[in-house]
Amino acid sequence: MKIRTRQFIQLLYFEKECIEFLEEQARNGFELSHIGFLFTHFKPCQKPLKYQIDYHNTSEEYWSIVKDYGYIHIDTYEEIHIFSNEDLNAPDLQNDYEVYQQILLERYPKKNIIIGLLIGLLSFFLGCYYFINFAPYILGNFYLHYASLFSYILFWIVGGVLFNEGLLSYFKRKSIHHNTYTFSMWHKYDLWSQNISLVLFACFILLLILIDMKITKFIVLLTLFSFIIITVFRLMTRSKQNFEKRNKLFQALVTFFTVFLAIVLTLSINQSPSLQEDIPYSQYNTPFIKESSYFVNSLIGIPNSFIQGDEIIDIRSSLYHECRDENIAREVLKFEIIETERLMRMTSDELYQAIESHSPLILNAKETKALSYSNALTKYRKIYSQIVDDCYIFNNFAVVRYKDIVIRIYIDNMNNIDKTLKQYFHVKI
Amino acid sequence: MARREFETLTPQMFYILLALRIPRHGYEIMNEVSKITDNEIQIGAGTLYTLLPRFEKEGFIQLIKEEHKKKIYQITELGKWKLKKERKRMLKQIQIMEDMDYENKN
Repeated sequence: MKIRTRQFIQLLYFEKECIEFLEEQARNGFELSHIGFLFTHFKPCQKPLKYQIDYHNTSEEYWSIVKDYGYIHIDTYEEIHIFSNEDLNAPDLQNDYEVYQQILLERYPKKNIIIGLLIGLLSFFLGCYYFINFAPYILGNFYLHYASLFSYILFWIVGGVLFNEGLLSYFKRKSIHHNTYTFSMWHKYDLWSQNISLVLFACFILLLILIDMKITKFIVLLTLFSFIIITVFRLMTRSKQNFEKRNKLFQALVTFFTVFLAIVLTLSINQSPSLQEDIPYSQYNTPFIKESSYFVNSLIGIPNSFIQGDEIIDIRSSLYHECRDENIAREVLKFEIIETERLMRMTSDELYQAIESHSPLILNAKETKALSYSNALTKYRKIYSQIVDDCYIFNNFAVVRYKDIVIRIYIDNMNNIDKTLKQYFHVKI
Repeated sequence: MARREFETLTPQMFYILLALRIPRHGYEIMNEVSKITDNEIQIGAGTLYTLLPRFEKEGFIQLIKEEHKKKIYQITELGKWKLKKERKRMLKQIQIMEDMDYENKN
């Protein structure tokens, strides 16, 4: 009978407890076979064994001495070598606590603390800065720039994880100095930091799924369900501190769900929300990136959709979004209206004044003031067209929605707008 | 309290440096230390091979040559100075203990 366990790797970093555990297993008839990618494997053995753990040493001279002492090298995990010996009285490999302490301290170098805390905080605040400055709280913006939402949240997650690492390094160093660096003491902290990362990741994925607002697909529901199961099971099993054999079926189930989840999430993220630009970004890459891209955005490859200068006048470089459905198209339209209006910015007072003097809309001053800026804008700019579903006019530009397509085009003659639209959609569709 | 590495020497470190007064390789060092201390202090292979590169980096010992993949080290002037400093420290400890007449009082 073989035993497989997953939690052994956490124990490896605590020499004393790890050796005690391995020797106990050997007394119970199981010796360490190898440390695998997911599981640590044990096989039956007849005799009790002496185990030793050592670090870093790779010289041939060292290996030959270790062999002379009767030690057999079992496996190596991140420069941690594990040896076993049938001779229970064989000399220890590490017998100077101070040297061992130095090895432990090197695992959590001071630079980790500084880098972790500084970059963690920087990343967190950068995420906040981007979120506040560049994310208007409009769903259409999400559909258009949903990749940038990843970046804000990723900044936060990365910041949080780094900060946590920095803090843990600081406290672990302190603990090593005070000789309190033991598995029983640190296991729960490591456990919690892992669980928090897991929960953060879960929130991130949930947000992505929920924001799509279309949890009707069976596959998405199934993913959500399997993810919750994995999270709950992991939290349950991780808090158990025994390293006895695990239920194989359960482990297989979790592994299966994890793989399934990875595949389904990859597919569903790729599917939603699907936006296409009929003009490849590469065609107007230079003005696009140069004028309006922010440094970090361009680093992580997010094209910015602010279009300025003469480029917008050319019909070939007008905005063209083919959305997955009409609901998304409506949201994208809202965003594009605000974006277009930004190019010809009006103050609130100017806008309300314009609405009051605007003949097709009969609103009194009180009603006008009660409108939000974006609603006022919508009312003022909207015209009715027979060709398209929604049409908004901004000087010589029209922002138009036809079914699931949103475009922004330049119009020469406003009196003849329907003709232009007809021509345009006739060509396009 | 946190201490700097090699601020004071542990018995293992002390005897390694002492054993290297003549050029020796790892296995010889371990045997020599066991011999001079009547097996009281034994140096683990892991400890020894962790310490040798660190001592070399600190400048306490130097690599003389490499024979049959065995590195032969010898103590340097800095290492000797370190040993003398350690001797002084230990003598001071004994002196203080004797001044207190510790053995007769207890």
